[in-house]
Amino acid sequence: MQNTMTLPDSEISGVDDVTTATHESRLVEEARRGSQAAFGELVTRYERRLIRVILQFVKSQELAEDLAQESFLKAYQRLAQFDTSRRFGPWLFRIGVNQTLDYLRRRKRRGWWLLFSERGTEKDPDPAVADPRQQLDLEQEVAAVLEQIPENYRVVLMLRELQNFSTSDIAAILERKEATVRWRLAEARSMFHDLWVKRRDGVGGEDSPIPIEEPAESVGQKRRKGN
Amino acid sequence: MMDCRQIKQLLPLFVGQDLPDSATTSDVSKHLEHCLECEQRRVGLQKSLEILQASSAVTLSVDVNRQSVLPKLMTRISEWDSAKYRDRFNGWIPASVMALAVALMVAVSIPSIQDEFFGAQSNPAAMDLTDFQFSLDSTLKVDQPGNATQGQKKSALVPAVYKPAQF
Repeated sequence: MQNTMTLPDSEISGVDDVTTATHESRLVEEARRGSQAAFGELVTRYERRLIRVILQFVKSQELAEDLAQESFLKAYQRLAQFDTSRRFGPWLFRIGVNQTLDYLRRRKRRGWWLLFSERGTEKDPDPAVADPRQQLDLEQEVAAVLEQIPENYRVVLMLRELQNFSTSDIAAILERKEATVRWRLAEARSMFHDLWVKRRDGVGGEDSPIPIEEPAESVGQKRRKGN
Repeated sequence: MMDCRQIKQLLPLFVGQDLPDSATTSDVSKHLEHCLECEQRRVGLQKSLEILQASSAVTLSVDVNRQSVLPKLMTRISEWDSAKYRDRFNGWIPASVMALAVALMVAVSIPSIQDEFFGAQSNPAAMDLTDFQFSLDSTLKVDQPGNATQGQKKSALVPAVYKPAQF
């Protein structure tokens, strides 16, 4: 799988990575000095990619756009805190993912969390798929299984499998060690496989998330992070 | 040489080509060549992974005809910038006005305070006591015994007038 973080969208593919990074650093610097035009260019570069990532969690184009807009605004407001020695992309996606997860948690607390059950009603089927109903069924089935996976693991799995981020990019987005991300990814894939087999065989069907213990290293790291 | 338990822990990363180094990948591959149980687990993991990736085929597509968030975002950014600017001024402008008002009041009142408290002392003519007239009450006989106390008592009631020449 290729690393898509450095090329935020297909529109800029073919551009030399170093040139792109330098140009991006310059844009970030200008935006930090208050240039709205420079920030606008950054928005244009990352907009589609960010919406796509958020869309994976909320399944509604309109909502994904709203959350993307909120994320960009938050990024602009926090530009002074951005470490310019790091890449802008992972930092922006971290804000976007956290914003989305916060939104979903708030919705869940309000008691009407319909994270995955919305997809059939809010999105038209893709005509490119042979049987759109079949595709929607598959998506709903997969979504129901994903919902049973604890959030820490589900996020890693979704970013890796559905958004094609590399483990190092996910580590940068989630501010975790790459080893921790790999461990979570392995656990999440195992959980998904076991739950999928259970569901397919009609054995399971329980809706409660799987209780799981983090390894000592990850738990320690998590505490140190204060999260 | 890794056993089946260790291999099964690595399989989820192996199927996604996410193992950290090629040596480990090679070890897992070799193990799978002769272990049917681990190979079956690998096949199962691979299939569920493919299902998961296939499920995202529709959701990954972002509507190409959608409007950019940029215009709305820029409006909000401008609002936020002006609010920040306004807040900054909201903080120090009233403080400056207050400080200016206090300074003005002090400046205006200083001359009158000077006149009130220091005006008489600063006037040499007013402080000159040379022409001040002192006189004694003629009814008092201070040279007679016992009259000193009486004289003092009286003097408390009747202002005494002394002449500087008597001192």
